[in-house]
Amino acid sequence: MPSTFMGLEIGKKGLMTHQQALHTTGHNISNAENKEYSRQRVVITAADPLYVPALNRSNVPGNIGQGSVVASVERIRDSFIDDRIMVEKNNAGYWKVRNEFVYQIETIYNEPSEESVRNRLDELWKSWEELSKYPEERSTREVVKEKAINLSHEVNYTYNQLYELRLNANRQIEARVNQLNMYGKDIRDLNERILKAEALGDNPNDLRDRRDALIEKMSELVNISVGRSDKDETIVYISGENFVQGEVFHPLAVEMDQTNDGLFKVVWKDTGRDVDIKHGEIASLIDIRDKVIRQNINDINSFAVNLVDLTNEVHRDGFGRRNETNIDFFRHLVISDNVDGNFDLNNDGLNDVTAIFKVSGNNRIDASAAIGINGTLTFVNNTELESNVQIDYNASDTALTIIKKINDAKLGVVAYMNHNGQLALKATTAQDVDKKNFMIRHLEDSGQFLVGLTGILKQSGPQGAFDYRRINDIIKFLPGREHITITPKFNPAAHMAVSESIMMDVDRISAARGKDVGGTGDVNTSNGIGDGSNALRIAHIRHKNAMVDTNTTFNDFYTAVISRTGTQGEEAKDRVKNQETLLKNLGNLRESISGVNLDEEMSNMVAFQHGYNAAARVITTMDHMLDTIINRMGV
Amino acid sequence: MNRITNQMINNTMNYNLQRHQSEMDRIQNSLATGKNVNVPRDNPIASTNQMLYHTRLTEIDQFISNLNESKSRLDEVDTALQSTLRIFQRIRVLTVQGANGIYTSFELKEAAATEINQLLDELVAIANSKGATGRSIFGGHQTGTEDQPNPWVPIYQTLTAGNQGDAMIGVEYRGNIGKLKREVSKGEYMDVSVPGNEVFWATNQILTSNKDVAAYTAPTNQSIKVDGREISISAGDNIDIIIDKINNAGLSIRASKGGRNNLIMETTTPHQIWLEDVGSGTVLKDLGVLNPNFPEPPNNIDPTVTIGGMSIFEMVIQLRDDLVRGDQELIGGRDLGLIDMGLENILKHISAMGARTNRVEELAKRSEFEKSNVTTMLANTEGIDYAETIMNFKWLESVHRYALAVGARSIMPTLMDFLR
Repeated sequence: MPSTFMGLEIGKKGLMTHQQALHTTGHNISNAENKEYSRQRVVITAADPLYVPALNRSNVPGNIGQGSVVASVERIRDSFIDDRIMVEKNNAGYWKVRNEFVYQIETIYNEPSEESVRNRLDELWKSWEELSKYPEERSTREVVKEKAINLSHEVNYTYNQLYELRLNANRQIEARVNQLNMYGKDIRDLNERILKAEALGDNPNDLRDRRDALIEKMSELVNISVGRSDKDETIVYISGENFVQGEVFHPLAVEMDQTNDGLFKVVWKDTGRDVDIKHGEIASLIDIRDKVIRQNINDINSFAVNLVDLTNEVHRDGFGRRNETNIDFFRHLVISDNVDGNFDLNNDGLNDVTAIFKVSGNNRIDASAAIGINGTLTFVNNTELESNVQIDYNASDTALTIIKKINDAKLGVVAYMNHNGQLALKATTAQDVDKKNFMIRHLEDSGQFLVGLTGILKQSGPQGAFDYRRINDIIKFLPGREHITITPKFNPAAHMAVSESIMMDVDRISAARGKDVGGTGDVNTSNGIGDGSNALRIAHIRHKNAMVDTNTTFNDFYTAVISRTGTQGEEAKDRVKNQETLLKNLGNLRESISGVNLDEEMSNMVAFQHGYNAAARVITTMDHMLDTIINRMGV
Repeated sequence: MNRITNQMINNTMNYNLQRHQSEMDRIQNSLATGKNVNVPRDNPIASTNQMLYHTRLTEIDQFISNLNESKSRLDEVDTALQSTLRIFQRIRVLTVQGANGIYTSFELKEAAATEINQLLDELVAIANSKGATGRSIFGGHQTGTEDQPNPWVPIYQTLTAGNQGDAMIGVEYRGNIGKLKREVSKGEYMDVSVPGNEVFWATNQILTSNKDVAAYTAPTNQSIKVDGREISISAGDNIDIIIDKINNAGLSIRASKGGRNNLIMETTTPHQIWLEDVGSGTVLKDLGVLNPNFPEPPNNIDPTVTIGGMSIFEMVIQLRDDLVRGDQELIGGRDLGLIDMGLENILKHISAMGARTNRVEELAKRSEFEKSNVTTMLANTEGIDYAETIMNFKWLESVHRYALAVGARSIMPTLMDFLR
C-alpha cells in the first residue's frame, strides 16, 4: 500500500527531471554558436518502480511507477567522423602552409613583371650589345656597369629573401612544436580531469568536447592518431609513438641539426630520437625549408655562379679601352683563403679539401673530330655515397660525344667546350650537402683524353688523379691558375657583384679582343679601340646553353624555375581549395549530428516546459487531495 | 534525412559568400591591372610564356636597334664611297685630258697638278672620314686614338717639279683589318664596316720575297695569320706545303713559288695583304716576307720584298707625277687602266654595301614582323578580354546577390518568432 505522499514525490521528480532537461536545453542554446560544442541530451528514464520483487512486498497488482529520473546527460558525437576530419585536417594543414610559402616565393621572384631578375638580365645583355656597337664610348660602358649592378642587386635580393624565408620556416617549426607541446599538456590535464569525473560515474561532456577540439587542432600540425579503445586512457600517437597516454605526456623538442646548416629538427625531448613527421603543418614547413626553398636557393646560386664565371671567362680574354686585360667583370669571392683552393670543410681548423669549381684545358681541340684514343674516365658521384663512376671512351668518340656522356651521367661535373675551343669541366650543386656545392670531386683518366689531348690533367692513371679530399691537389692540373676557378664562397648569389676594378674604372670593361704582339705566346694587345667583338661574345652567352647541367640558356633556366614555382603554387592552391570543400562537407556532417538546432531546442523547450507545468499540476492535485483529507474530512 | 542546424546554414552561406568574394577579388584585380596572370600560380604556363615573350621582345628590340644602327653605318660608308666615286670621275677626266696631250705648257701642268693635289687631299680626308660618333669609319678596329687619330697618314714632301710646293708623296695605312660586327638576328652576325685597305686599293698587291727558301722547313708547330685567317703550320712543313695551306685557306690570295724558290703572294681582289706570325712563330719572317724588326702589321713587310700594286692614293700620286712629266703614253695606258681598276674596286664595294643595306632592310622588316607577332602573342596570353571578364563579373555579381538575398531570408525565421 503506497504512502499518501507518494504522489507528491512523483510530482517533485517530474519537476526536477524537466528542470534538468530545461537546463540542458538552455546549455545547448547558449552554446549554439560554439564550434567545439556537441549538443547534449538528457536521458530521462522511469524511476525504479515499487516494489522490488521479494516476498515481503506489499500485495498490490503491478509495479507501481515512481515517476522519472535523469539517467544521464549524453553528448551526441560520432568519433568516426572525428577521425576522418583529423586525417583531412592533417592534409589541409600541410597544403595550407605550403600554399602560403610557395606564394611568398612567387612574390619574391615577382614574375611576370618588369622588376625581376629576368628583366634585369635582358637589360644586361642589351647593354653588352650596345657596348659592342660603341666600344669607344665611356657612356655605353657605364650602362653595362649599371645594368650589371642592377642585376647583381636583384640576384642578391632574391637570394636574401629566399634565405629569410627559409629561416622563417625554421622559426615557425619551433613555434609549431611549442604549440604542439602546449596542446599535449592540455590534453594530459583534460585526461586527468575526465578520468576523475568518469570514475565518479559522471559524463564530463564539455571536457570531452575540449579534448576533441585540441586533438583536432593538433592534427593540423602533425600526423596524429587517437587510440580510444581503452576506456580509461585516451592515447594520442604521433607516427605510432605515444605523445600523450592518459596522464603521461612525452613532450617534443627542437634541436639544431649540424648536418643541415644548424636548422631545427624535431626530436622527442626525453630520448632525443628523431620524430618521424609525415604530414601536417610541421612536415610541410620541413619540406618547404629543406626541399622547396633549398632548391630555389641552389638554383639562384647556380645561376649566379655560372653567369659570373662565364662572363669572367670571356671578359678576362678581352681588352679594355686602355689595353687592360685579365680583369674579372664580376667579383668572384672564393671559398678558400689561399690560391690553391685548400679549404677546411669539416670546420676542425685544418684544411682538408681542394675546392675547385672549374678547369679549362690547355689545348684547343676540334670537338667534332674523332679522338683516336681509348681510355676510361673515373669520376666520383656527388651523392653521399661518393661511389666511383666510370665512363669509357674509344677511338671513334669525338670530344662532343664524350661531353654528352659526362653530362648525361649527372655526376656533379659537367663538361663543355668553352669559347676558345678548349674542353672545360665544372662542378654543379651537390646532392648531399650544400657545403659541397660547386666542387669537382674526382677526375681521373686512364688514357690521354684529359691529359695529352685536352690538357687538363698532368698525368693519367690513379697517380695523376685529382681528388678533392686531398689538399694541394690543384697541382694535378696542367693549366695555369688563370684557367682554374676556385669554388666560390658559400651562396654565390648573395655575393654577386661587379668587380672592384670595373667599379673604379669602366674603361677596363673588355669590349675588344686582342692579339699576341712580340711573340710572347700570350694575347697581350688590344685589336684597337673600335673593336667591340668581345662585348659581342659576352652578349652571345645569352644564346648558349650555359647552364650545362640542365642544358639550358640562362633565361630558359630561370624561366624553368619560375614555371616550377608557379606549378607548385597552382597545385597547393587547388589542394587547399579541395581540402576546404572536403572539410566543409565533413564539418557539416558532424554538425548534422552534434550541432545545435535552435528550432529543435525551442520545441524541446516547449515540451519540457509543458512537462514541468504538468508535473507542478500533479503536485497541486496532490495538494488538493491532501487538503481534502486534512481539512475537509472533519474528523 | 540529414539534420540541419543553424550553424550549417550559416557555414554554407559564409563559405559561398567567401568563395564569391575571393573570385570577385581576383576578377577585379585582373580588370584593374589588365593582366590575367599576376602571380605565376594563376597560370604557370601562361606566365612562363609571358616571360619568354618578354625576353624575346627585348631581344628583337635589340636586333631592330642593331639593324638601324647598321643601316646608318652602312650609309656612312656608302656616302664616303659615293664622294670617292665623284672625285674619281674628275680624276678620270683629267687623266683622259692628260693622255690627249692637253697639258703641254708648264702652267697647264702646274694647274693640273694643283687640282690633283687638292683632289688627293680630299680623297685622304674621305678615307679618314668620321662617322656619327666621331670615329673613323675606314680604320678597321683602329677608330682613332689620341696619338693616332686617323687611319690614313699622308706623307708630304716639297716638290719642285710643277711648282707644287708641299705635296703628297705617299699615304700609309695605320688602321687594321678588323670589321665591326653587329648581331642582326639570333646568333647571326653581319659586318657593317670595311677596312680602308680593302676599299682604297687600286690593284692587286703582289709581294715577292727575294729569299731562296728551297731548303726551309718550319722548325715548330705554329701558326700564321693571313688577312686575319689563322693557318696552322706543322713542324717540318716545307715551302710547297705552306703555299698549299695558304691557297687552301679560302682567301682571296694566291701564293706561289718563284723561279728562285722564293715565295710570291698575290691578291686576287685589290686589297693590302695582311700578314702576321702568331705568337712566337717565325715562319713568315724566315720566309723573308716579314720584317723581323717590325713584325706587327701594318707596314711590316721586309724591305727586301718587292711590293707590287698600290693604293688609290699612290696611284693618283703616280698619275700626278706622270702629268707633271707630261708622259702621255703612261697616262693614257697605265694610269688610265689603273684608275679604271680603282674605280671598279670602289664600285664593287658600293654595290656590296648596297647589298648589305638591302639585307639589313629585309632583316629589319622580318624583325618588325616578328615583333608584332610576339607582341600579339604576348597580348593574347597576358591581357584579359575585357568584355568577357566584365560579363563574368556581372554574372558573379548576380549570383552573389541571390546568395545574399536567399541567405538573409533563410537564416531569419526560427520557431522563436512564432512562440508567444
